[in-house]
Amino acid sequence: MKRSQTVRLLMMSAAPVLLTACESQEDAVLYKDVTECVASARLTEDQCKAAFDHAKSEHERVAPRYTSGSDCETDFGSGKCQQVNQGAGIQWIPVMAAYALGYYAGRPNYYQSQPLYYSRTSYGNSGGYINSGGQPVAQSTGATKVSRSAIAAPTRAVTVSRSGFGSSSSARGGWGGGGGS
Amino acid sequence: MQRIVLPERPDWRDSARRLGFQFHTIDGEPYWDESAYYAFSMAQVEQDIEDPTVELHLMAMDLIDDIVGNEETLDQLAVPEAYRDWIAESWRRRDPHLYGRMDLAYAGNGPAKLFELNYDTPTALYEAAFFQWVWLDEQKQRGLLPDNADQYNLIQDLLVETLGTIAPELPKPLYFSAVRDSLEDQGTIAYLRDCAEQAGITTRTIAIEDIGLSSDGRFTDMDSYVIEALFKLYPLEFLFADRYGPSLPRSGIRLIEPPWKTLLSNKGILPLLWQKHRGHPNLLEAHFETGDSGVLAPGWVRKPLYSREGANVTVLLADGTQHVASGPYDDAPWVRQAAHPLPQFDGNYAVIGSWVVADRAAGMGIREDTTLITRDTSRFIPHAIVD
Repeated sequence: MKRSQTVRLLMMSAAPVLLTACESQEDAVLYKDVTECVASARLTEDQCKAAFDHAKSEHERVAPRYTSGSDCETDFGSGKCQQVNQGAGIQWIPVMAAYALGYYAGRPNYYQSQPLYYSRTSYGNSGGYINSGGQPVAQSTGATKVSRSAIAAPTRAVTVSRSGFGSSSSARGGWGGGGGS
Repeated sequence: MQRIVLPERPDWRDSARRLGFQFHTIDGEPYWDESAYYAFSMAQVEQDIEDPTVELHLMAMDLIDDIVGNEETLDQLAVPEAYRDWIAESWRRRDPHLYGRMDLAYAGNGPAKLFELNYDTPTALYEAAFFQWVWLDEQKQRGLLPDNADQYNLIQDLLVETLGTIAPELPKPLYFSAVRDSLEDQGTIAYLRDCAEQAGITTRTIAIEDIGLSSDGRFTDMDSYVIEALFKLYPLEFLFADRYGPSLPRSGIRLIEPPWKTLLSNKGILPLLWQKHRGHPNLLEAHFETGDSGVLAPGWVRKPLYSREGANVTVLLADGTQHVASGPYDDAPWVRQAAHPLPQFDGNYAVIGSWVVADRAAGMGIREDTTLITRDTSRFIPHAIVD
């Protein structure tokens, strides 16, 4: 046969079919709090605290959001949700349950931290820690292996301008409306 | 190779809607056209399309080493000086590339002739890789095509596989970007994004016009997250010419297609191929236009180095008839290529788009026009292999 055995669409179509792909695994460590981090003796107390503070500072911005407190508690447990109001009205987010340190290519001093949430259903019917994107990270704290995408937190920067691309297309007006060929 | 009239599937517009094909009709004119199909033999596909595609691709890739270190050639290709080191570096690193389409003139016999390489922003992808596949399957189910009918189309398999292979090297997420108001370009990136998601890659989309620049010279999305990996369905030479262009080399952004692809999507590759492989059966004679080239002689075509959708192409046939497509690409140098009229089937001129994914020949799609110059208004006609 000279053509694909199957073709699939996940997002463009009305009826998605999901494929899973393997991803490389990276080292990560999960800590409930600074005390647990210090006790593990991998990092100094200052490093533990800096990583915790960073995760905490990201927490309110990136946490999964709910419009009702009961929906949030369904996923994260009774009393495990908090209210926030960041201009979009009152929303509910889970409390930060732990933080994860992801290591790059095994370099012990080059890591980034991010907040984690304890979801009651993240591993089928049993609970576990998920990241802000809802991806399961581990079922318990301590050292673990995770897929790279589960720990690679996106980087932010201060945007100072926009719309610096696209003018060549409009200058050449109407050629297919766009840039393709 | 024959053009065969076939009844349309009565429900194909519903299928198109269900399957995300929004641009099957463009400005009220049909673009997807299944009132006929092209029938090939397996030998025609394998010997006359697939094999030459692999060979031509390798010949083109083989030119890049010659080009990147040669200022004179880079001048001939009108590559802006400010981007030459960045392009060379992306080639030294072998930044991965995803796909390209070469346009071939082929009439069912004799060697296919290379018209050009669309190696930076090729479109007509979803319709070739996906919707054409569905057409074949459904027409077989309805008994309108024989049970053993096949198609030259491994495009989606290879796209998903290639994306899965190159993703681990790329920062996450992978952004997909095109001009905001182009339905066709947006449809193409929606499809490529779907393929990436199938390969397990985390993706986002952003309009080219919405990309921001940060205080430390990096590109950002609408929430000010840094865009570290970007698939852009927007010509590299446009990016260079735009206001943010000078920020590209130091932004750290990883592009697909990578910067070195601009060397192959440039029509200057045609004379360079001819210089190195003069007389190759799949090449048309081609030269850079210089001050000594004189007026266009009968039997020659004039194309701008940077051109999309057939714009600004002039064809002067041996009998003196001239075909001109106007357009905006009149500010770059030109190449001249021996005229080779497209084969005509029932009054339609057909050009074969032969897909290359990573470095493998992947499949084909056929576009038809009522004029000799294939334009963005050409219709896409499905094909089948029926031996």
